[in-house]
Amino acid sequence: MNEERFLDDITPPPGGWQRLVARRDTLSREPGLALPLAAAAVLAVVVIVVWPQPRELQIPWDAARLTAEPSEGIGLKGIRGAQATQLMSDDPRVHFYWLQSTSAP
Amino acid sequence: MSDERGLSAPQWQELYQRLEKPLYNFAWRYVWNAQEAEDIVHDAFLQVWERRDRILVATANRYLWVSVMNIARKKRRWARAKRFLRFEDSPHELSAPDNVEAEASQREQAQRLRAEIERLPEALRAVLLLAEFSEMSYEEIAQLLSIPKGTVASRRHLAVKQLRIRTGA
Repeated sequence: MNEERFLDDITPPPGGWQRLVARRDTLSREPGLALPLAAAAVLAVVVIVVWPQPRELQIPWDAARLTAEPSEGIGLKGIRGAQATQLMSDDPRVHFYWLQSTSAP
Repeated sequence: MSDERGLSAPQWQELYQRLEKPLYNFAWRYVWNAQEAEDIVHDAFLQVWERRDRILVATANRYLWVSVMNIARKKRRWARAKRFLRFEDSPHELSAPDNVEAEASQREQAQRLRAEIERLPEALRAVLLLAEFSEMSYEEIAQLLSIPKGTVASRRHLAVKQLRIRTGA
């Protein structure tokens, strides 16, 4: 620059080049993430496709029941292919049911 | 300008030897910490190394300055957000005082200057530090920051003026 310098130069700590090369060599020795990520993706697909899916229960009631929102005054009804057993609940407005399939496995 | 693409190991080393000091000076005035300033410079050089096959040799210098500036800004934002930005004593600024009084005065002056650089808006700080350390022309700095050449000159002038007034330098 043509203009007068205003700030003083400071000297970097010695050994910077050696530390940089050491970091570079460490990085180059580490395996990249591409291969592990690809392997994980393939494994995920295999698990999703091959893993045995649980049998679905027919639960024709609204989702509010499933999230344990207050369900006072609403009876249990219309469960096809499933058996419901009422469980203890400390809150009279909340009902818990244990659902089991009645169809043969 | 050469269109040669691909940076060799010796070219990378030559760049480091040439730019380590100015880049370090620039980064240090963003984070005020020797270790972090060196990390910033090294991060930029490692980015260049990873992209060495695609980088134009002629613009590697500019690439490094942009990288260091971006990394330094990010680290600074993070440190400020976490209130970690603190002024580390620099051994460079405390070297060879004649006596305790001179050392105290030197330290005080250095801290005042740092505080005033801290007060500069980012637009002024970037121009000032690039003009001080990069050895780039105003035109090159203007291209780097995507601002007019005249703006570089005026921002640098304003930054130096503010520092002079506030520090009495």
